[in-house]
Amino acid sequence: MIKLYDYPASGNCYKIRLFLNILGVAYETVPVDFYPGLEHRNADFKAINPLGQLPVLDDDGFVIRDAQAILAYLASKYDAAGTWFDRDDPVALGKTMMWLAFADQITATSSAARLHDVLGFDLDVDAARKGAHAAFRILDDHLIEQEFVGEYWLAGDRASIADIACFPYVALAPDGGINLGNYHGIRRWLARIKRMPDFVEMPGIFLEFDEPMAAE
Amino acid sequence: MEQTSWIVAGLSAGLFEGSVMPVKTPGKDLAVWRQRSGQANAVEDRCPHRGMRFSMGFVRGDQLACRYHGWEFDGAGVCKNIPAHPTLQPPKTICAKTFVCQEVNGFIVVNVGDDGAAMPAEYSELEGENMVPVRSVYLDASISTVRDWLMQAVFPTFAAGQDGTGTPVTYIYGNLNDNLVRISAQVGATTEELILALQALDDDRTGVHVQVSDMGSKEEMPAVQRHVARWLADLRLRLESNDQSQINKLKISA
Amino acid sequence: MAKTTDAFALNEWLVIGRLEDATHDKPRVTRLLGQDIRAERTADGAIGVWETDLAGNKGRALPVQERYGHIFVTLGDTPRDLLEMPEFEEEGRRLVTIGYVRVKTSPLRVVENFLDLGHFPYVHTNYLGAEPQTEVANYKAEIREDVDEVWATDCSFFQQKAAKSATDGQQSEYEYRVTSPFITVLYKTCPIKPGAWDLVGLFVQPLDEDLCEAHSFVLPFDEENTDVELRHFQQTIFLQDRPILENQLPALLPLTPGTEMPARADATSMTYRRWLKKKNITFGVQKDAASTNSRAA
Ligand SMILES: N[C@@H](CCC(=O)N[C@@H](CS)C(=O)NCC(=O)O)C(=O)O
Ligand code: FES
Ligand SMILES: [Fe+2]
Repeated sequence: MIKLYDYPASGNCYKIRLFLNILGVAYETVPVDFYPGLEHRNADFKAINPLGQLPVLDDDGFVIRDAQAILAYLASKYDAAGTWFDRDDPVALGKTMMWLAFADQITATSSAARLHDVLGFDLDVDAARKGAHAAFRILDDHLIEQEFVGEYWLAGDRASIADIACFPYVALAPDGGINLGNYHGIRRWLARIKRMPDFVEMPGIFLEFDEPMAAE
Repeated sequence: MEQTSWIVAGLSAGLFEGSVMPVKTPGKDLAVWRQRSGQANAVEDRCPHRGMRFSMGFVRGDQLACRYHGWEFDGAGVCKNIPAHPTLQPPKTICAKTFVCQEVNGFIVVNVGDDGAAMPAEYSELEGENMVPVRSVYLDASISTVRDWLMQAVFPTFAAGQDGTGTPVTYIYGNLNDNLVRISAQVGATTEELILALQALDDDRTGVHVQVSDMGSKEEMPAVQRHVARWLADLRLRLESNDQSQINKLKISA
Repeated sequence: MAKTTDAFALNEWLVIGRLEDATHDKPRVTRLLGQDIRAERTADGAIGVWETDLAGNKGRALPVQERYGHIFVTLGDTPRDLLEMPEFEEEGRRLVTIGYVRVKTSPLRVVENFLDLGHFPYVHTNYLGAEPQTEVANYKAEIREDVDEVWATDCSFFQQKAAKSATDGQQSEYEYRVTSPFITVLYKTCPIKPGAWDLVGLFVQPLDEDLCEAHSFVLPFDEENTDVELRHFQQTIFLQDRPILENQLPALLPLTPGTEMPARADATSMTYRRWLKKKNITFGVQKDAASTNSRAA
C-alpha cells in the first residue's frame, strides 16, 4: 500500500492527499511531527529524505520526494484516462510543467509567510508576502486570460496536476496575512477547484456547502 | 460634479451565481454576493452574531450563510435560519446591514451611504450600450490620481494593432462622473471604446473595473478582451515603476 | 504596545511556552501583555524568565511555575492562584502537549471560540460536527462564585469524529471550565472508555491585545494513538478555527450590549462575557463601540 509521510497542516502534503482522493487510490499516512517536534529535521527522517522536507511517498518500496514529482508519478501510474497529466501533446506537457514549477515559487513565498504567522518561524515575512503577491499577480492575470477563451484551468480546458500543485498555498495565503481580495481570477479558480468531484479540504481551507440543508 | 455615495463594486461577470466576494470601500468593508436566482446583494462584511466576515461565508440558494455558525440571511439582511436552534423562527431583530445594490450594463453598483439617494443618472445612461467585460485591476494610487491618469492615457486600439498601418487615432475622453471614465478611440471609421469605473478602496488604493465596446464577432472578442487586459497590466506596471519616462509613454500629451 | 496597565491581567499566571521550549542554548524570546520577555533554562535546571528591553537586555526576573507541561509566569505582585487540575494525578491518563498556534485577535476571542458548540458543523465539519445535526441542546452555564470560575455543564453534541480515537459518530457530552480570562479546559466523553472524561486544555498567551498564541494540551485515556497522532488531531482543530478568529470584526471582544447578538446556544459565551465585565478587565476588550467595522489591514 502507498505510504505518505504526512503532516496534516502542510499544504504540500495536502496536495498529495487531495490527488490520491481524486484518483480513488488507497493509502496510509505516516504522521511526521513537523511541529513542534521538527521531526523532519532529525537524522531518522533525513535517511528517508535528505532534504528534510515533506511530503515523501513510498509506493511499495519506491520512495519519491517533492510534491510536484509525486503528483506526476501518481498521475502517470494511476490515472488510467490520462486526463490529469497529458504527456502526449508537447504543448500541454509544456504548460503543465511550467505551472508545476511555479508551485515551488508559491511554496517559497506564501508558505513561508504562513509558517511565520501561524507557527512563529523566524523569517523575513515582509519579503515572503511581497513575493507571494508577485506570484499571485502572475497567476491571476493568467487565469483571467484563460477565462476569455473559456479555458478555466491553469494548463488548459481541464484540470491538471498543475492546478492541484498550485492550489494549496494560494488558498492558504490568508493564513500568512496575504489578502486575496483583489485577485478575482484566483477567487473564481479556487471556487472551481473546491467544486471538483472528490475534493477534500485541509485545515485552513473550507469546504463549499452548495446545497441547501435538507428540509425538516 | 456631485459627490455621490454610489460606488461601482465590481463587474457583474466576475460574480458567479452562488458566490460571495469581499469589497473594500473607505471606512467600510462589504460582502457582495449573488443569489442562485441571479440577484446581486451587498451587505456589511460583518455577521451580527459574532462579527464574522460574511465574505468568508457561502451562498445557499438565495441566502447568504455565515461561515462561523451557519446563520443564514436573505437579500434584505433578515436572518432566516439559526442552525443551533433548527425549530426556532429567528427574531426579526436579527439582521445584517445591507446596502442598495443594482446592476447596470455589466457593473455592480452599490449605494454605500445611508442617504437613500437615487442612483446618479450617469449609471443608468450606460444601459443599452454594447459593452463586454474585461477585468478589474487595482492600483496603488488615489482615485483622483488614477482618474487624472486615465483622462490622458493612450489606449492602443485593437484595430490599430491588427492592421498595423499606423492609421492615426483620435482620442476623446469623457469624465461621466467622479467614478466613471470613458475613452473613445477613433480609428478611421471605427470607434473603440472603454468604460472604466473607478472604485476607491482607501486613500491610496483604487480599483478600476473595465469594459470594452462590443465590436466584433463572438470569435473575435476574446482577443479584444485579452488585448485590453494586457494594456491594463502594462499600465499598472508602468504606474508602479515610479519611473516617469516609463509612465510618460502612456500619456497622450507626452 | 507597551506593557498593559490592566491590573487583573497583570496578576494572572500566564503561559509562555512548553517546558521544552526554553533550553539553555535556545531561549524562548517572546512577549506577554505587551512586555517583551525571555525564558531560558538556568544552570540549576530551573527555568528563569526575565523582562527584556528593546535591545534584549534582561531586566526584572519574574516568578515562574513549571506545571502541566508548560511554563507559567506572572507580571503582577499579587497573582491569583493558577488553576488546579487533579486529573493530572489520575492513573491511565497521558499528557500530550500540542504546541502553539499564533492568532491575530484578542485572546478573549480565542477562549470564547473554545467554549462554543454551535460552530462545530461549519468550522470543524466531519470532525466535531456536521449538518444536519446542528442543534445545540439546552445546557447550564453559570458563574461559580465560590471558586470564581465559569462552568457550563450538561452540554452535548453529535460528533462524527469526536477525538482521534473515535471511529463512529457519537453523542458527546461536554463540560467546560473557565478558570481565568485566558485559561479554559473542557471535559468530554471518552470514546473508548465508558464513563470516563477526556481533558482538553487551552492556555492562551496574550502577547498584545490583538495578538496571542494559543497553547494547548490533551490529557486523555488513550492507548491506541501515538502522541504525534493526538497532536495532529488537535492542531487540525485549531487551524480550522484560526481563519475564523482572524476574521471577526472587531478583533477585540465587544462587551457592550447590542454590539453582537447571541442566541441561546451562546449561554457560555454570555456568561464568560458577564464574568469578564465583573472583573473590569479591559485587556483584549473593545474600547470604543464606534470602531466595530475595522481591523488593521
Ligand atoms: N519542493 C518541495 C517543497 C516541500 C516543502 O517545502 N515542504 C515543507 C512542508 S510543506 C517542508 O518540509 N519544509 C521543511 C524545510 O523545507 O526545511 C515540494 O514541493 O515537495
Ligand atoms: S458569527 Fe455569523 S453565524 Fe455566528
Ligand atoms: Fe473551534
